[in-house]
Amino acid sequence: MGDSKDTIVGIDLGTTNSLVAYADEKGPVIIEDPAAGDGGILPSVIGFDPESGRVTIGRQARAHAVELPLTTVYSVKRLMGRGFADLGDDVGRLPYKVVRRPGNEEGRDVAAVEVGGRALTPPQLSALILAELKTRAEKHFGHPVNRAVITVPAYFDDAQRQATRDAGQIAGLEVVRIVNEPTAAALAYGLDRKEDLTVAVYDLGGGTFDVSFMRLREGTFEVLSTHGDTHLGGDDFDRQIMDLATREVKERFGVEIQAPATRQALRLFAEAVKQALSSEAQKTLQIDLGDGRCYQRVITRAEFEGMIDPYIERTLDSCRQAMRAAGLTAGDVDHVVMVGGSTRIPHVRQRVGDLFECRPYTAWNPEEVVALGAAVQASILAGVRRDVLLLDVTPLSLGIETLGGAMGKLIRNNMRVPCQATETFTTFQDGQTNVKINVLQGERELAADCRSLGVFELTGVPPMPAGMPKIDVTFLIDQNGILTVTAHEQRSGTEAGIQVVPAHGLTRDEVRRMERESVAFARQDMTAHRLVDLRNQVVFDTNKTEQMLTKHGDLLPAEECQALRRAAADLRQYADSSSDTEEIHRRLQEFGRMTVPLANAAISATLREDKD
Amino acid sequence: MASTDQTVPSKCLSCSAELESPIVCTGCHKLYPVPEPLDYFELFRLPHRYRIDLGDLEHRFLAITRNVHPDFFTGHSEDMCRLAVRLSAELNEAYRVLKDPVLRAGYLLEQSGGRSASEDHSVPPSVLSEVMMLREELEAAEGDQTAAASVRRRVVARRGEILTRIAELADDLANAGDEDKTTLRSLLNSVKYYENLLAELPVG
Repeated sequence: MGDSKDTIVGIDLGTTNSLVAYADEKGPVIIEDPAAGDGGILPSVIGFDPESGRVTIGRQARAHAVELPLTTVYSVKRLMGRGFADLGDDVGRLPYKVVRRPGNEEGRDVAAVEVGGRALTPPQLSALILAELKTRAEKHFGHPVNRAVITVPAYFDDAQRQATRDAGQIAGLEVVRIVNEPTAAALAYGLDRKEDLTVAVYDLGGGTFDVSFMRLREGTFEVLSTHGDTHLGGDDFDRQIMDLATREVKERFGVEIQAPATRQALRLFAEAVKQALSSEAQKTLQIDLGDGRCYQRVITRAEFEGMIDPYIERTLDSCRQAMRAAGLTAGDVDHVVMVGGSTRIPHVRQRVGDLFECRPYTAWNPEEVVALGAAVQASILAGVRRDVLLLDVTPLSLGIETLGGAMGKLIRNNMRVPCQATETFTTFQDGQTNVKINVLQGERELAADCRSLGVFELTGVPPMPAGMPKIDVTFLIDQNGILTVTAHEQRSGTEAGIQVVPAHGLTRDEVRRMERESVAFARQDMTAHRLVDLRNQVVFDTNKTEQMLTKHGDLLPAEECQALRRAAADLRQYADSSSDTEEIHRRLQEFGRMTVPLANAAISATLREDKD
Repeated sequence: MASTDQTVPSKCLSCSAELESPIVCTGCHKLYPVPEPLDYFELFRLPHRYRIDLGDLEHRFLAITRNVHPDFFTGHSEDMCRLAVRLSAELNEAYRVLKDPVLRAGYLLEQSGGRSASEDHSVPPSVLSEVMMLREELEAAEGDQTAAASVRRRVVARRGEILTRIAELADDLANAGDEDKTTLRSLLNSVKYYENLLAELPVG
């Protein structure tokens, strides 16, 4: 099992669920927390109790989603590495409050979730989920776990990958590798297969879709091509049902479903209907609107399939494009591995099977396979095994904005990583010492249609006449799909300094600050926890004392009984109104000492009763 | 040509095994700095020829990758990790170029000296008019799958013919005359037109 230094766990940080796994020589297993009772599948839901300030993760948080819609945060993954401006409709659909993070510098746009008067960034929220998984692993091993491999959708861009890495750091985890989810799934799937295979991995999760084509040969897992959509998943299917109900409730009853609690409830109903329709031919959706009004609607499987078909068609288009990029035809594909909870839907399996002319492989639990693969990759990095190697590609083209606002591609999509490209820049004005470069990611021709990863500013260029400096800028995409930029001025030989201003991400300093804060935050959470415990203790002790006074009060002088009753009431009032845990604790102790004579009298009386 | 480069040792400095690649020892995993200049053929210890066994190339690529991939250097010094990333990036690029017939021919042409195909721009007018005609036919065939398939077949056939001629000219560029190089440049530019056309055809 090893010690904390060489333990690396694999984590699937999902839109809907998150898991942690570990692999040794025998193979990968999911790490469970028996106390949580979720079978190792932690719902990616974070609950903030507005009264106690307590933070809950997973099932418990999800259970309070309807009661506390504004302070229950789910689907954070959809917000990772994205600006408030490019969230668009998503903001209105989420019951919790998404804001533009206050204090953003000019040119930077980071989304945040406002909860309990604090604006928390998606990496901070994801860090809470990661910290919970870290704790699970530590409980399992009995020693600290500080390193992890975390998976991301293959189609995540640089900002989204960076945000995932930041989340790890905030949670106190060194992210040794970011692995693409379909690649991880193939790793788990193909581990024990000796033959040469061409495999498609179709990964339809809660919020994202990915497809990858890979070749398994001589222990290498080579990704040939990948395609996907970071905004397509099971959540969209739920929303189809929600939209139907919202529309019909308005038509029939003239009622607008707007309250966050109702929307949250409807979302859970819709999810349940979707899940039921995987095994049943029809399901009734029922919403009690109050005042004796009840919306009832039978949804048949055929109707549901009609609703989701356009989305499935989009995934199949992605499959066709990726297949073409890999130079494959459907007949070349030996197996299709299905990953993600949404591939449980029979209609999805049917359409995918039709496209590839084969029955999709569904023997693995689609919710677990990514985490298991991440654990295998972790074991490779930990040096446990050297017989397996992953060769992945970059999902998106990388380029720079050229004069006239076009996208000049430097690294094309589906190129094997690590990869690099060098471009030479110069100055336009005499004595110019800074050059600004807008780095873009995407497949479109115009810079405006691509995603800006940020503006890189070359500083410290030696002053020379315009056009004289020759600055070689090297863009390197590493094995994690993460970009680094270096620059070198040819004539002077100086290394030009590079300042990275991520447009949708956090700066290194911010991440470090959040890392420190998260420790303080955890302490604050502990304080809240202790307060709840102390208050419960106060209620328990004072009730007990009152019961004793009723039963044995006659054994003590009347004024002493009076004083005890008053002290109990005072203590309760103080505990309810104060959050000073130290003082509550002190007063509770003092109250305990006051009740000693009563307790002694009560014990003596009980003993006497026993003798009689 | 870079095959005579003196800076790269032929035996591993650390374990004395024969080096199967100038960037790494496949015996003891010792990494070597990126050779200057970097020769893609030399990287795989292959002769500078156009005709290449793709299966053998893949095998060599995987064997070298297994020794330089950064995943195997987790926990090593930062410098070592960075070198592994750098070498892997160069290796990936070399493999990409040598695997692709057009890129491979272009690379050989560049190595042999003189202008590159893209600097030359030359394309025979007959190619331009044929591509234009095919494009028009394709537009007319909009929605008609059999007609589109017929265009596709012809484009594939034309590309195949040009590639055959490229292979003949590019295999022994060291002994080729200027005239052959000029023809090769024009062929390399021509084949791109057919490849672009193929990329525009609907996925099928």
